[in-house]
Amino acid sequence: LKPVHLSTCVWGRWHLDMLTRVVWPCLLAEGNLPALIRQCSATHRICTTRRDQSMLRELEIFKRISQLVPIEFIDTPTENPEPQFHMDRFVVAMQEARDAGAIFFNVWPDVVFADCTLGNAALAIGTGMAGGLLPSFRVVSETCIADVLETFGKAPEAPISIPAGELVRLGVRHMHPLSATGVANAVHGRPDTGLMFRVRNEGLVSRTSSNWLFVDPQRLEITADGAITTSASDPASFVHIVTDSDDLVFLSLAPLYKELDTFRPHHSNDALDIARLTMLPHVRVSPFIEPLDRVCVRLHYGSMTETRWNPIVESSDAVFRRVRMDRTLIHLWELLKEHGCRQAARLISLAVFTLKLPARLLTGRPLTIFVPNDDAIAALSPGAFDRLIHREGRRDLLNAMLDHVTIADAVAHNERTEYRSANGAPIGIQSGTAQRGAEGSASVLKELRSGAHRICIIDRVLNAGAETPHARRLHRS
Amino acid sequence: MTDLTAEQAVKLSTTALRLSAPLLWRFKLAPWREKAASVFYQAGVERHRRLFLSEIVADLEASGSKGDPSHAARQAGLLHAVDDEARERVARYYEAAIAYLPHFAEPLYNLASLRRDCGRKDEALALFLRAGQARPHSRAKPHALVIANAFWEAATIMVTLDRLEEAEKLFRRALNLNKNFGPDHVRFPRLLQRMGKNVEALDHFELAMTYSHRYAPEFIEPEYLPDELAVRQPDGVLFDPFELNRIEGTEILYWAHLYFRVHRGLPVTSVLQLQKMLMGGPETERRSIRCSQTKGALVT
Repeated sequence: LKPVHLSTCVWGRWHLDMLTRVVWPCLLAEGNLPALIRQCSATHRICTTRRDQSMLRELEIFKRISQLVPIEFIDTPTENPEPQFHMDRFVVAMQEARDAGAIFFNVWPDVVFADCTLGNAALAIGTGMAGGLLPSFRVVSETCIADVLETFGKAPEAPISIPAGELVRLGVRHMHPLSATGVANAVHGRPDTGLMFRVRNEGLVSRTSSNWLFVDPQRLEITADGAITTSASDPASFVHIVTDSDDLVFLSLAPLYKELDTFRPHHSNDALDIARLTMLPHVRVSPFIEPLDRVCVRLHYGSMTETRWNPIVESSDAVFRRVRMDRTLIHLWELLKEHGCRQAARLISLAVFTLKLPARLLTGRPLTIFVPNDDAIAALSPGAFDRLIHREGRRDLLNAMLDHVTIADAVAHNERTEYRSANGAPIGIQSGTAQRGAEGSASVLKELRSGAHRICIIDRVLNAGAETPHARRLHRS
Repeated sequence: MTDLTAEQAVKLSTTALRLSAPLLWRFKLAPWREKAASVFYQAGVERHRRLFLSEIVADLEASGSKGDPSHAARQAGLLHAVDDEARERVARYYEAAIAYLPHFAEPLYNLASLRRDCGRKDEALALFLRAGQARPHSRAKPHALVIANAFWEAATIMVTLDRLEEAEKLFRRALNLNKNFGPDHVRFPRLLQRMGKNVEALDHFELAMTYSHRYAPEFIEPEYLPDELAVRQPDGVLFDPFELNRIEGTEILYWAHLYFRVHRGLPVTSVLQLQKMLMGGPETERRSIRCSQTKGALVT
């Protein structure tokens, strides 16, 4: 049997209360710990204070858990650890699992698991998955615990078995403001890499609100900041990413007033916010951000009416295409600044905030993007650059940008090669400046990569602003 | 809640303070007003938080339908319905804080934000501008940036009123104090574009390309000093400084950050009664009340 470390870091009265009254009874459900240990050799490793160890050992529920799996205690460094310690412990626990040849399993001390979460995770491990990403959202502990115990707790310390659908219903009933601000178009917002979309009467579409339930540290790595990474070319192929709450799901308990100072009044979380957040250094290091943004997770209570879900799924797809496109543009902006193309970078930032760009184009197949260098932009005819950055010049800017993009994987040759831009206009390109063609072709000075896209820095602006929108329409037709 | 207005509360508590130190009260007045203002502000913030969370949950419920579960926090009374009346109940505490200390930036900002949310733009604008000229709490947290935010929000309202040049000046005053307003930073380059200042707009669009957080000053409270901390009940709930509260296990009363002890035989149960005794009653009644800024001074 595959060794598994069920890892928990817990201290303090509130968290111990959650662990012993909710988490452990949920683990006792037939589809959780009993199902897991049929397929894995599990050890429950609890990092806690000495004081809390003594308290836990006295409890009946502790005895019931330890009848199923051996429990090992790990001392916290002090009796009053700093809040940050649980993050540090996550990294260390993962390393310990790696050294022991075990799979790391995150048993948070403040969650409500559905009745078959651990069992289904064990099945995923059995199929060779190196990690499991499952959806969750936060609920108000002050009201949710009483509801859980009253509705599903048959007796103190008895197993709590909550079907996934009922857990989602419970989640909506007790949804924490921290998660409610993560619903699309909410009145207020807060920083979040995910977004949820409501499906009336039936549940929620959740995008990128996922957490690692299990990780095989032999096959996946962890950074000092706790991000899971891999150098594999197709990371999503060996990770189980949940798409339906019937598979794996949990709720995270939090006091009502938690983290109130992180909220942003009157600014709902949108695609650009998510893109910017996922470009922060400690987040972007994860290769799973991009694959996760393509996954639509259905959190539902009861059966799903496809006519209700499909439009919501489609609109969530559109938002997350926009997320991926904005991330691409932010990356391109960074790259161009780094390589001295200041003016082009500035135009890209303008486009991000003012243009409705074709997200399907920029997030579909790999593109070649030609970027005029600063000299090329400086050589534009008088007024041309001003027209591009004018508020009324948005269409010109959009056309100019599309003039510089081709879906061909363009390779610069010494001889002039012609491509078609995304606008349908011809683009003449050649490498080096020595043999510049007379008929308006641009030379590629440098080639860069931005994700799947090829970036060619060129010495001339391609057709920018040369045609009026009217003439361009004629040209297209 | 007592029916006293903010101004009446200030007048009554000043009278009470004079009673507590007939000779020295003038010297004690200014520092005490600061503390009293702080306590009313704290009471306002606590209610403002609840209002804010109530707004979020009300919005969530509005996005569902009858077949969706109703929210338990509202049913349990942890949160409440949101309307202008609810905002007004919170505003009253800020009004009192401002009445005690007219140049206290934080309650001015928070009151402005409530007025804006009620759609009372002109009042909100005047209050944000006042907050921008006012003094933040001496122990305000650096990321609260209440003055910068006050100018920023005033500018935002000016834009909606089409007063673009004034808006620009205010945005610039805000930016002198804080370079980046996070996801809201985009408001400034959009204004610059409207004004034809396209090149400068580019600089600010670029500033908004990377993630930066803008904290809500409404909820970033100062590091209060012990003697200005609002008094809490044993269960952690703040005493309402507008109400006359009895300190559990004692005969001491607490109101407007003052402690009172009333001679036996003269039960006082409301602020109005206290007002009558202190400001309109016979001298004997007035003398039967002891008042202090600290609880300890009344424990005999």
